[in-house]
Amino acid sequence: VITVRALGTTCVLAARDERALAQARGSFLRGLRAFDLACSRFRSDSELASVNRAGGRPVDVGPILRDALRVAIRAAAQTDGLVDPTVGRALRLAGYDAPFVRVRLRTTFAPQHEPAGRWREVELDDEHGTVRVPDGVELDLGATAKALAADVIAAEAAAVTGTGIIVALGGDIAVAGAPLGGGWPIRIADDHAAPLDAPGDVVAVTSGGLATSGTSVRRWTTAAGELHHLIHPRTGRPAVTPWRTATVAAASCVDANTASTAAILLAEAAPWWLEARRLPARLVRENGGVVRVAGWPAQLADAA
Amino acid sequence: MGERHSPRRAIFARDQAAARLRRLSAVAVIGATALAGALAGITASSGTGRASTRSATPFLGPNAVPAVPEPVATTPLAGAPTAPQAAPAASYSQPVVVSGGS
Repeated sequence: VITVRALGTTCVLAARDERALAQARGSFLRGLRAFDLACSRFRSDSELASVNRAGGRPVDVGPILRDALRVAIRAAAQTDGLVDPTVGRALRLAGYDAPFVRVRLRTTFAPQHEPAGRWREVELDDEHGTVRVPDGVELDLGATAKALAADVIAAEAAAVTGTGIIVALGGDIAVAGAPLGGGWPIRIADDHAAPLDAPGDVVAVTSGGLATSGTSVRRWTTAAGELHHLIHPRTGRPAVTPWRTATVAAASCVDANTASTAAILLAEAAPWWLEARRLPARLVRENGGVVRVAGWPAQLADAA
Repeated sequence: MGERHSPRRAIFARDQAAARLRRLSAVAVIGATALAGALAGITASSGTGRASTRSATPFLGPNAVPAVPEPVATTPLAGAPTAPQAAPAASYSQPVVVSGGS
């Protein structure tokens, strides 16, 4: 297993054998660097930062940001705008305007709240390799770009090594190639930084992706109280939700992340929404109660 | 005069009017259906945002293996997140990674 710190979180690569791990290491690190340079909201030299400060002008960007933006727009369409790439301004006004290690140290920030919801106005031009957002709109691809990175890096590493690969970027996990016998065992926890033997479900995944979204890790204190990073685009405020975490399995990590983020924002409608799409999911209420939907397995302790 | 206002003629006129109304209703229903179809087509083809569905080039440069699946290009623009081939199974093996909030 290779573990590095990147994209504002902990990134893990594992392969079925040591030789494959060594082979995949290069593409793993290159992929992380490439996504960071394209999609970071906090690097002044990132392409996304250039788009956000362009004042409504088109900006030349590379294929990674264009793909990430395309995925983000698709996620917005699939969730009726709940998973919205234009929440960047709302996040900044709420106080998440710097790398999180700095944001969490502040206590007196005075937050403001402004709705988002302008994802249909984003212009993506593959012909000329440009992206344009209206003046005043700021992108944040945190919900889906990391998941896309997991999908792409896992697929690349599996192709390079010809064997099974699992990539975990924070809570976003992608599996590619032939899996371990019985599938890759994954611990589900409130915090992706929890130890491997922390309490919680362990599930085996053989393909696709799995993602966990939650309100309990990325929280910060402001003059108006504690906030979290899952902003509801229609209010510009942190979502009011009964769920502490939502974990979803899907055909890709992007789809899993889209659904897990949407589940938090959908509040009590989440189980129905997930069930209707046959997306296996595990939702944890603020009081610790667990709801499993669409075939998410019960654990041995539950059956006993 | 008595002939013009006879009950039989009045009934005939009413039936004629009802038949015209039925024909008009049928035409209106067909027209509305066609219009709805056309609008649905326009909506579907307008996509979301102004994103083209063309896929971009791989990011890892000329030395990268070209067989990287591109989730963007292979998944429909609209629709729903796609369910996995198989639901996760309960496992009692030592976990390799943790999925949690980040």
